[in-house]
Amino acid sequence: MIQDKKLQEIHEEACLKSSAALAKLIGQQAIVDIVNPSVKKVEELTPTIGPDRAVVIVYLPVIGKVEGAALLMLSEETAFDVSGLLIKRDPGTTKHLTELDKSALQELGSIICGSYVTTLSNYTGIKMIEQAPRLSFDTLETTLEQAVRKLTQNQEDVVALETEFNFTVPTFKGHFFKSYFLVLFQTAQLEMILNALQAVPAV
Amino acid sequence: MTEKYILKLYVTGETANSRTVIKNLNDILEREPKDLYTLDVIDVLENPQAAEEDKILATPTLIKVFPEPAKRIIGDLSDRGKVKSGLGLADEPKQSVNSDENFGVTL
Repeated sequence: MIQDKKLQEIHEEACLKSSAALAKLIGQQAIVDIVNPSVKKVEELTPTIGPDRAVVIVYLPVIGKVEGAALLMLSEETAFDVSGLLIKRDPGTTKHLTELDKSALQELGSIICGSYVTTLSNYTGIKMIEQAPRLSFDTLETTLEQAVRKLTQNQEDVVALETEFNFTVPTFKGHFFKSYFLVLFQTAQLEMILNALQAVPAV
Repeated sequence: MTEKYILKLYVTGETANSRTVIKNLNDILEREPKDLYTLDVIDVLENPQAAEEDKILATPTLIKVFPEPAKRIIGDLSDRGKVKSGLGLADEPKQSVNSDENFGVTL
């Protein structure tokens, strides 16, 4: 399907952008593992973390010609590891999230979600504006419910681009930082995006 | 004499993602003569130094080291045409019908 190929292309570009931005943020090389995205209804999602355990979530609302939201979700342990990496603490020494940790995670979420939204907007020519990211600590189920409710009253009218954002840094040998990543849109608006993608010539 | 291709494939861990890309590449290469290439599969979790030296930004990344120019292909390598064109490999040979009489054109 043309949309699948295009989405894959956008996803790869967004991952490369995120990798470069992440490297700049942590001051060392970062390697993002590209996991192909899929388009699903909310009830069909297969979260790689949670869903019953509390997770750290960076929520980035998107406004403009289409409205949506990007969500980056990390388990508590991964959030500790990642914030430790961002703040340059020794591996395994972060045991709780200070305000500085939360701010660093928000920055990371903003980079990843922002790269995705910007790439999608550039490819389709559809204006999408990222709003300020918010960090919360909740179950995946509750977070999703709230994110969907902000878009529409009916969960069936929302679809998600589902993928993972996993990366490694060579100085942390053998360590794989894993997170679950979603971009939510109303079904009709995602169709508009996919139609716009069909008009984009193949590279 | 045919130049031997030197290929490196960077993956992260033994994940489903890694298995898919290795399978996709093997599917492409198995139709090529075995002595045409050498392939080194590198796990960035096991060998981060190699990834550092090759300035890897994302996995999966396939690098054609030789023949020059060096080329990188990022992604799951599911687009056979794109991979072959990126590597500079010819399309699969189709059956040739008396090439002399057809002025060397492969049909």
